[in-house]
This record gives sequence, structure tokens and C-alpha cells, in this order.
Amino acid sequence: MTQHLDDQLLSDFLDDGLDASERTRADAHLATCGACASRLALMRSVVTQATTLPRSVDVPPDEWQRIRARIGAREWRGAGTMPWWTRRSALLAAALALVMVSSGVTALLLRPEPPVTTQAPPPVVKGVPATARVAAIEDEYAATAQQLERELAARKHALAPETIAAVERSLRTIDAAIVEAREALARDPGSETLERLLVAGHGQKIELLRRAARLATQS
Amino acid sequence: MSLTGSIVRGLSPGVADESAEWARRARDGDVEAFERLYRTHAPRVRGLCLRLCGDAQRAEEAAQDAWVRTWERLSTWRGDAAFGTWLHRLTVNVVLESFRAERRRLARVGLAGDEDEPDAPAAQNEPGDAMDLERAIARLPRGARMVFVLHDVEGYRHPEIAAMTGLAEGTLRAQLCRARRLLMEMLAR
Repeated sequence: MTQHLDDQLLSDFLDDGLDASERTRADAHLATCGACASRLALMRSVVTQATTLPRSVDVPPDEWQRIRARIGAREWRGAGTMPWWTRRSALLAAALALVMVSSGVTALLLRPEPPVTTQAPPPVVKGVPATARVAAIEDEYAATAQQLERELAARKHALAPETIAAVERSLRTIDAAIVEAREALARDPGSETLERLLVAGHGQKIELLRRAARLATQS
Repeated sequence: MSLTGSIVRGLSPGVADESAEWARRARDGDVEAFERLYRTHAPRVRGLCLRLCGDAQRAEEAAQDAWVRTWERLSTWRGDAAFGTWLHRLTVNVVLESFRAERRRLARVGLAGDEDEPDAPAAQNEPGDAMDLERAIARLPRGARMVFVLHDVEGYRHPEIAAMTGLAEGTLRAQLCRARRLLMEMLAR
């Protein structure tokens, strides 16, 4: 063989990626061609060096604080799997919240008269870690909201544009309030007031979506 | 940033067991357990991001994104794979996603992504200053660097890299060859 081996072939040779006949030809050429054998050795040395590089590097001392700050706002969504007792408590809290939360925003938007009143916030279930409890509540609300949003989207055409706009505007307001409450709770995880505020926000969102979906069905 | 940390090829069984326990607790919302995971694995995540990105600033952002994503996705870790392996793969995905996002941004303003950039001539070294492999890797075009790091440094196999990057195996082999050739040239100067 007089033609030198190209780099692609040498690279594949190193990775044992040649078929039997290619491999035989390459072996034969390398046995007699110093230039190709040298180039293969050089390529092999690069690969060998690469395998010995340190895989760990020094980490900035304040990196964890920055990460902690970022996950703080999302902490309540981080817990995906709860012990059964935590989940049961959370379900109970969510159910109580749904019953007791005011529907003032909905009333304001979807009824001629706006009898907005502030009713008692849902009771906070004791006995489970606050973080896990709120995360579970948020998970449950998120699942319910998604279901209602799908239903509403399917029937949206039955609603007047003004109604849709009002619902969407209110949803944005409620979502912003939820985010604000969640962030405040991340900064002050023990606050029952903030926890109730967060749950109340979710309750209002569910109620608004439910009423809007019902209105679309009746239209 | 210099790559001066200790070599961590793999975690000892004891550390792996501890990581699994911390991961389970973090999955249930335990931030302290998550911090323990971070303390154990952060140097490794950082090193991976630094090599894939080739740039300290981007690596810093990618590493933070990877940890935030880890927190968010912990519920999908089922414990059937070592936590370190799962984290490693997640980190690679975060970096690749950032590359794709940048490519989309560049495409929107009419600029090509740098995976297609021609082989740039390596920067001139200072006289007497032999370029080390680390710096040479950082100067590779992104596509070639990504494949080289995943294959030759991290030890992923071709099918795994193809699955992660979406590259056809032929393209992947070509990028790997390109990286090796460019590195040989840079190191020979």
C-alpha cells in the first residue's frame, strides 16, 4: 500500500471502528510506513492524555449560595415523591382549601355584581414538614389547574372575547400573587400566614378556572 | 480557571450509597440533603461544564443551571442508576440545550452556529509556552470539542453520544477526528 492513511481512518482505527478488511489493510500499511505509524502514535498520545485529565475542578465558594437562592423560589415544586402520610395530609389541606377559599376574584369578573369578601384562609395541617406539605399542596393544585385549563381551552370558543380577556387578565394577576407568595415563603419557610396566602391563591385560581369552564359549557 | 482539582474518576461505593440516600431525601424536599449532594458532586459537574463550554463564564452559568435542573428533576431519578451517573447525564443535557438555544438565537439574527465554523487557526502561543491539552481543548470549535470531551475525556461511547446530541454516527466520527487532528496541530506548535 503506497497511499498514506488519512486521519479519519486513523481515528477510527484508534476507536476500533474499522471492519475486518479495513483493519487488515491498515495494519499492513502501518507495519511498513513510518510516517503513518508516527501520526497514529501522536493521535493516540492525545487520546491518552485526554483520559488522564482531572475531572474535578475547584468550585467558587459562593456558588452554593447562588444555587440555593435560585431553587428557593422553586423549592415547593422540587419534591416529587412524598411519603404516603405527607401526601394524605396535603390532600386534606388542599381539599379544605378548595372548600373555604374565597371566590371573590371570580365573582368580580364573571358576575354583574362584585361581592368580594375575604373569607377565612384554609387551616394549615400540622404535623408534617412545612416544605413537604406546601410542595404537595402545590402539586395537587397544579394538576387540577392543568385539567381545568384543558377543559377551558376546549370550550373557549363559546365565551365572549371580553370574558376570555377578563379571565386571562385575572389568571395573570393570580399567578403573579402565587409566585410572590411562594418566593416570600421560600425566604420565610415557617410562616403560616404566607402558607395560607399561597394556598388561597391556588384556590382562587382553581375556582376561577372552574367557573369559567362552567360558563363556557352553559353558553 | 485552572483545572487543579483532584482526579475523581468514580465515586467509591460508600460515597455512592450516601449520594443515593441524600438524593432520596432531597427528592422529598430536604434542602440540606441536596446541599450534601452538591458538596460531593459540584467539582465534577463544574469540570464537565468547563470542558464542554470551553469558557469559564458559560461554564459557571451551565453548572448553576444543571443544579437547579437537578433539584427540579429529582423526582425522575428512580434510583436504578447511580445518582452520579444520572447527574452527569443531566448536566450534559443542560449544556447541550444551552448550545441549541444559542444556535436558535444566532439563526434568528442570521448568523450561523459555530458547529459549522471552519477550522479556525489555533491562536499563536507565546514563544516557549507550549500549549497544554486543556487550553487546546478550550480552543476547539464547539461541535468538535463537545464530541471530543464526551468521547475521549468522559468515556461515553459513540451510540451514547449520538443519543445525547442527535448527531448521526458518521458526523460524530468526523467531529471526533477533526478534534483530534486540531489538537495534534495545536500541541505540536
